Formats: sequence, structure tokens, C-alpha cells
Amino acid sequence: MEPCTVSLEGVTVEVGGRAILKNLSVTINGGLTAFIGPNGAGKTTLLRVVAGVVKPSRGLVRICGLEPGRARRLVSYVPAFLQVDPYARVEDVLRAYSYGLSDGLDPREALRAFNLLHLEGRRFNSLSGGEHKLVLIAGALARKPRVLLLDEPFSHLDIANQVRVARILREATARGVTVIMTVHEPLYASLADNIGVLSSGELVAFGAPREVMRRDLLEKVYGVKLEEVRVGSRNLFIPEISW
Amino acid sequence: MVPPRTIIVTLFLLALLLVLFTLSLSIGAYRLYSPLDILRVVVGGGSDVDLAVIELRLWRSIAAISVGVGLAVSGLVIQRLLGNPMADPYILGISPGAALGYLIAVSLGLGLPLWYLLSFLGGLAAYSIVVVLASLAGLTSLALIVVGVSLSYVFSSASIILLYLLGPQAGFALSWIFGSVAYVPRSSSLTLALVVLAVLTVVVAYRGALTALLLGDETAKALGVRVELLRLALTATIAFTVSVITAAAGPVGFIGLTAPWIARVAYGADFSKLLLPTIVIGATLGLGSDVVVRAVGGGRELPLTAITALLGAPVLLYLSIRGRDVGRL
Amino acid sequence: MVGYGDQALNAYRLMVAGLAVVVLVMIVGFTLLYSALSSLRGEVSSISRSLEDQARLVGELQRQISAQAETLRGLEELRARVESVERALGGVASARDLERLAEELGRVSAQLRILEGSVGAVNESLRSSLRDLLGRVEALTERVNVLAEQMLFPVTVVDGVGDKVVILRKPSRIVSLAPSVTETLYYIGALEALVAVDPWSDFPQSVRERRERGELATVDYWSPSAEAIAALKPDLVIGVASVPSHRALKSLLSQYGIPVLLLPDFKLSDVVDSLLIAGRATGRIVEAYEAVYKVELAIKYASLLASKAELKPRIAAVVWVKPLFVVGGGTWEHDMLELVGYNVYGDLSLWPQVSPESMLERAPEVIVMTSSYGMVGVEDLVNTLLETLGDAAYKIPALRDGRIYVLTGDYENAFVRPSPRTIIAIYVLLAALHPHLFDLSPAEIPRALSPETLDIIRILERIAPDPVVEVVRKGLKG
Repeated sequence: MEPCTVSLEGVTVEVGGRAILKNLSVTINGGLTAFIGPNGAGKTTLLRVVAGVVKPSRGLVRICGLEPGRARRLVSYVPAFLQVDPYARVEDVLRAYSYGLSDGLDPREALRAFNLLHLEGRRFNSLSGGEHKLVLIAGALARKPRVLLLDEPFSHLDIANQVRVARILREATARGVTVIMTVHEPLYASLADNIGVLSSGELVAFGAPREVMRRDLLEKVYGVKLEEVRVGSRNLFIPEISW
Repeated sequence: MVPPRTIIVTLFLLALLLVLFTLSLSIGAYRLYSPLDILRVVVGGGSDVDLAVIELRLWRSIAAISVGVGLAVSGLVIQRLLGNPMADPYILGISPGAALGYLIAVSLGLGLPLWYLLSFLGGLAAYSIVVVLASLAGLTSLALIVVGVSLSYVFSSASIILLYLLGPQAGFALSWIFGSVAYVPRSSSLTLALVVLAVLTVVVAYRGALTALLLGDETAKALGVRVELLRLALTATIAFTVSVITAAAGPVGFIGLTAPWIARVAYGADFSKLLLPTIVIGATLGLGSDVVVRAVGGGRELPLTAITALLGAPVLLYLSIRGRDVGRL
Repeated sequence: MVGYGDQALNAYRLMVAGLAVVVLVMIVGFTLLYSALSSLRGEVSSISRSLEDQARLVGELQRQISAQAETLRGLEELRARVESVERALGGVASARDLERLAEELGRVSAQLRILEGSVGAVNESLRSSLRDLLGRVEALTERVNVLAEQMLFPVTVVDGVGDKVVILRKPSRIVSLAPSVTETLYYIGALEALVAVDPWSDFPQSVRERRERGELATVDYWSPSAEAIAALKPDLVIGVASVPSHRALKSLLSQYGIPVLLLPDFKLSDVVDSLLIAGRATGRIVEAYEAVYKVELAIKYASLLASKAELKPRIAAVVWVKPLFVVGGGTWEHDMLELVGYNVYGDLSLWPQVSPESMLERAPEVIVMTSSYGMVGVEDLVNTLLETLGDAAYKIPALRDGRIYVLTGDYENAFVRPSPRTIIAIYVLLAALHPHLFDLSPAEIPRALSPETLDIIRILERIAPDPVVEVVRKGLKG
């Protein structure tokens, strides 16, 4: 399946007169894309614009050539903060993701696909933080989207679950799903095919990890001193903490 | 797939409802009828007063069921729309608004029919004010709750002032605020049933969007749910329903909070699964409370709100404590 | 033929002429006789009429004479009683003695006033001796009250909740917290000392006027402010036992040294007790006993009238239409209903909320309702019952027979306020339920009962003794 292209042209989002995204343009041609940047740089807003939750004040957003409002069946979005009804059952959460689909989805099938069948019938607030994320990602993917948007998919997860999520995302891209996520850990950014670096609502860099993950750029964007460590084929950045 | 246990519980509730319905025809101020008596009277073996009394109790039971179902379903929808399990259909100022309307009519010395018209309009007016003010803050659930709760207190204050100005008759007027289906006119029972059917239709039509909303505003919006519009349209529908119920039977407390809670604790959050249990629980609570009211009054007519909490709270507490971690009923 | 024939002819002529004369004479005579007779008959009838008149006059005179003799006897007896009070007054040693004297004086005074009403204008000497005696009673009352002020105060009064309330001096600044209290004070003539009333005190007219002129302050009925009351510097606050906040005021105001007296307001007999409690507390014991005498007389006369009725109708009294509230047992309204009939809700206490269905069970023959200050009428109750019960509502005898009465205006106030004015409500109910006792036809009883639609004073004047009429009149024409 041909991956779906997500493109933003001169997108500006203003809330209360303050620009959160400033004239941002980027084209994502499939694969796994990670956006990094300090808190408040506009990463989440970028996802929300693509998800069609926020309408840009100016600029164009196209998903497989469609406006976000017309591409809802093609897009799945998992926000960073859980707002899920605590009394919802796991299968309720999955069924909720079938909204707008003509043929619905089978919750059991979706759970089985992610080895989560043992969670069936469980109340959402009785799950662990990792299980929360996994169930939501399972629901999002059960929609069979062309574009998957994830806001901080690795936060609150233990190492094993981080690896699990990473594998799920990689498998999705392999099936031709365009995955766009925001991350805080440079380690997971490095897993992506492309990395975008956001700072104060502007895209300061976009490209392959090797091009973007440079110490000088990151130090400038985050405003902290970093130590670069090379482990295997990957560069890791460790902040210098002194007190 | 619905677990067999859920089916058993639902069947049990339906059987209970049937028993309550029979009881509601037997118990009342006039005299007690055994189920056999009822059958005899219905096929024409009783006096015309017996038939009239059973007919009267039937109407009253229709009102009690309609009130129960209407409040339960409204509560379910409101809890979802506001993303708050402690919300009840009165949270948007409808009950204090209706009470204020009633007390304004009473203290102005207006005629009896106007008491109920003004309480209906009071409920709708209160809701409208709440929505207009909340929409200044973007019609989020938090804004609705904060504005609703604050204005409810404002309306209640005004009601209390009016009650004091009412002098020696305040006690009689106050009793309306505890609700009762004993005084619902037959025509209103029918209206109530129709309004409740109408709101059920609306909720069934929107069950997908309401289920999607369990993921929260953000995800629901991404899925294509027009959350603000849904919130506006459904709260307006519920405000209308609840205002009709309140004008006819007074503000009946607790059913709108308890019935959806019990259903949610027991059945989760999927509206297509929740609706039937909520209807059955609401009907059971409404009719059950009224049967208890008729049975324990000893000639007196107790207010409905005196009983609803007594019946509903133990079930709710049991489910909340026992089902805390299990996630299963 | 001439000779003999002429004679016969002449004789014949003579006969005819004689006959004619006789007939003429007879006609004239009879006419004269008739006219004489008829004038005589007129005379006779006029004489008999005047005789009848005279007989009636004589009868009336006899009655008057006997009444005057009775009055005289009564007067002599009362004079003796007045004199014994006068004698006893010198030897009063305790407050208890004084109160006993005051009771006697109150009774004597009431009876004298009743006599005063019954004595016609004829006997000037009787009237003058009555006036003389009344003057003596008034002087005595004054003396008793002065004595009471010295001897009774500080007085300890047991009030309606059984508390002993100590009042140091004869109160001159009284706060009334309820309309029934104000009306009770009116009946013992203690309104002068009022400084504040509740918003619902609208009787007598003078209270309303004084309030409008700002001479009387207004304090709340449900939650009177202790501070506002203390600021008025009253020396006595009178509330009612049934309002919880009035009880709460007791401890609050005791900090300011202001006594709070609660009048009982549960039974009809509490009306009498309230008069006595208020009388003791205000030092107006003679007036209190006088009012008690009249009120009890009026109640007794009402019972006497009611006992003449063949049937005691089953009554329901509705005090609020929706939700339905009725009069139950343990209330003065219940006692009133039981006096004129049978309260079908008497087994439930106070003012129970009941279902429309219970009306089918209790089957009242008469429903009496209050209008809630003109807000609701008979049709509202009928509609409420029809809406809920359907046609079965007509199985309720009162509805079937159209015997639903609504009390409005002063009659409603008299019914819902436990003051001596309840007498008015009792007689209004009696007249509505038993019109024949008052020589009224049922058609003369309107559905809406108010002083405008049913002049109870005029009705009572026809049959009731003067003191009864007087108590009722005092309650309507304040």
C-alpha cells in the first residue's frame, strides 16, 4: 500500500493572540516521523492540527490530499493525556474507536492482534499505565488508519512496554501506515525515519536522524549542555547535570 | 459479547420490575388488592370504584416509571457529556430553576396552573442562562459544571428568600421540592411517557457519538464527533425532558445520579450496552420508590426523594466498594 | 165591567204600589242596614286588631317586665358579686388571691356587658344602675390591674412549652411574632404596649395602620432576628410554640435579659390558654378572664347548635391543593372540624400530605379548603382531583354533591390562625354545613366563604345570644 502523505503549508495556529505554530511547512511521505522539542514548542498542537481537532488560523493541511475534516476515517489520534471514562471496559474503549466507520470493528480481534485478550472485560481504571497506552494504541490501529498520530506514546511506560510500543509502531509503518509521534526521549526519536525539531512554534530542522540529531542543534533548542555518547550505531545525548 | 451474568442480572431486574408493577397496582390509600383481585377487577368482576382505583394506580405507575427512566437516561447522558460521574440531570440548574419558578408563581399569588408552567419555564430558563454563560468559556464540560453549580446555588438562594417571604405557608410550598408522582395528572403521565420516549430516541440516535466521547473530548473530536454541538444539542434535549418531568412531579432527587452510576459500574461505558440497563434500573428505582412511598406512608403521602436515596444508595455503595478493582460485576 | 172591574183593578194597583213601596223600603232599609253593618264590621275588626296589638304589647311588656325582673335579679346578684369583690380586694394577700378575684371580676364584667346589650331603652332606672355597676367594675378592674402590677410582677408565667418565664415589670414594650399572638393581645386590650409585629399581623386594622405609619416595627415570622428584636429594647417578646425559631429566640434573648413567651398553638383550647397566659404576662388578667368567658360561651353555644344537627358530616379540610395537604389531628383546625362534624383525616397528625386516592378512601361529604390568600379556588381542587382520579373523583361525596367550600379573606385567617377569632371560623363552618340551624336554605350558602359573600354577623344576630355576636363582631370589625 502506498503510504499516505501528510503535508502542512504555512500553518499558523493562534490561540488568544499568541502564535503556537508559526508559518510551519513540512511534508511527510510515510514512515515513522518523530517531533521533538522543548515543552511548549508546539508539538502537540502540530498533531492536533493534523488530527483535525484544531483548525489552523492560516495555512493548509492535507492528508492523502484531503482536508483533515474529510480525512477522519484515514487518521487515528492518541492524545498524551488520558481523558477516558474510568468505568469504561477495555472493549468499550475499542468500540469507541469505531465511531464513523461504516463496518465497525471487532474489539476481540483488535485485542488479539496486540496480545491483549487477557484484558477483555477489565475496567479501564483497573489497568496499569502501560496497559492504558497499549489499549488506546490498539484501538487507534484497529480503525485501520492510513495515518497514526501519537502524542508521547512512550511516556509513563516501563522499558519492556516502551520496546513493545516501538515494535508496534515499526510494524505499522511496515504495513504502510504513516506514523507521526511526539517524543521527549532522543533515544526514541532516533528510531524514527524522520525527525522534526520544533522550537517556539517553528520547525528548526527536519530530516533523517543522522542529520538532525546534532549536539549543537539540540543544545541550542533545549538550552542545556549535552554529552554525546555513542552506543552501537546510535548517538545518545545525556544532559550534564551539576549541583 | 454480553457475559451470561449480565443477562441474568438484567432478567432479574426485569422480573423485579414486573413484581413492582403488580405491587404498584395493589398498594395505595384506597385499599389493598391481591393480584387475584386485580385480575378479577380488570376482567370486570369488581365495582366501578375498584376499576377506577386500579386505573388511577396504573396512571401513577406510568408517571413513576417515566420519571425514573427519564431521569436515569438524562443522568447517563449528562454524566457522559460532562465527563463527570457525579453529574446529575439537575446539575445545569434545572431543578433550582424549576423550584424558583414554582415559588415565584406561589409567592406572587398566581393561579394553580401557572405554578407548573412557571416551574417548567424556570427550569428551561436556568439551563439557558447556564449554557450562555458557559459558552463564554467555550462550552467545555468544566465550564458547564462550574457555571451550573454556581448558578444552582444562586437560584436556591433566591428560592430560600422567597420561602421565607411566604410566611406560614412555606412548609406546604417547600414539600413540592421533594417531588411526588401522586399529583401528576393523567394527561401529564401520557406527556411524560411520550417525552421520555422521544429523549430515548434521540439518545439511541446519538449512541455512537456518546460512546466515542468516553475517550475524552480530544479523541472524540479527532474521530469526527462534533463535541460542542453534541453537548449543546443533547443538554438542551435533556433540559427540556427534565423540565417537563420536574414541572409534573417536582424535582425528584438521586435517580438521575444513581441509576446511571449503577449501570456504569455494572455495564461499563458503551452506550449501546448501557442504555437498556439504565432504563430498567431507572424504572425500577422510580416505581420501587413510589411503591415504598405508598406502602410506608400510613395514610400520608411521603415525598419521592425521601425514598429514592434510601433504595438506590445501598446498591450503589455495594457496587462501588465490591467492584472497585475487579472491573466485573 | 167598569164598576166591579175598576175596583179589582184599583185593588190590584194598590197591591202593586204597596208591594213596590215595601220593596223600596226594603231596598233602602237593607242598604242602610248593610252599610251600617259593614261599617260596624270594620269597626269590630279594627277594634280586634287594636286588641291584638294591645295583647302583644302586653305580652311584650310582660316579657320585658320579666326580663327586667330577671335582669334585676341578675343585676342584684352581680351587684352582690361586685360588692364581694370590693370587700375581698382589701384583703388580698397573695397573687393567687388576686388572680381569683380577677377571674371573678372578668366574669362579672362579661355578664354585665351581656346584660347591657339585652336591656332595652325603656327602663331608664335599670340602665342607670347597670351603668353605675359597670363603672364600679371598671374602677375595680383598674384597681386590680394596679394591684396586679404591684403584686404580680415580677410574675412567673408557665408558657405554651412548659417553660417558666419570669417577667419583672408590667410590660410596656411588647414584640409579637405571629398574627395569632397579635390577635390574642387585641382581645385582652394589650395592643397599646406593642412595639413590633411580624409581617403577617394584619388584624386589627389599627395594627396595620400603625405599621404603615412606622409606629410599629416589623420583625420576621420564620426567622426573627434576635439582634433586631434586642435593638427595639422590648420587655416582652411573645411567639408561638409551633415555630422552631421562636423557641431558639428564648436562649438568644435571655442574654439580653428579654423574656420570651411562647403561646401554645396546637389545640382549640389553646386559644383560651393563650388568653390567660398573655393576660398574666401583661398584667391584664381581668380583661383576659372576661375574654375567656366570652370565647368559652361562644364555643359552648356553637357546640349546642351543632348538637341540634341530626348528622355530623364527614369533613376534609384542604390547606394546600398541590401537593395535597389536609388538616389532621392535634391541631386547632381539627378541633373546629370535630365541633361541627367529623374530620376524616383526624387519625393523621398535624397537617399531613395525602394522595388524591385517599379522598376516595376517606369519602368526605364536605370539603373545606383555604384559598391561600386568594390563590386557589374550588375549581382548582376539583380539577386536581379530576386530573388524577378521572371520573372516579365523583365518587367522593363532597365532589358529587358539589359541597366544596373555600374560605377566603378574614374567614380564612380565622380558620388558619389559632386566636380567639377562630370563633368566626367555627360559626362560618356551622352555617355552611348546617344552614337549617340558622334558618338558611342551602342555596344561600356561597361556595366561596368570606365576609363579603356570607354576612355571619347578620346571620348570628337573628338567633345567637348577644355575647356570641359580640365576640364575632369584635373579630371582624377590629
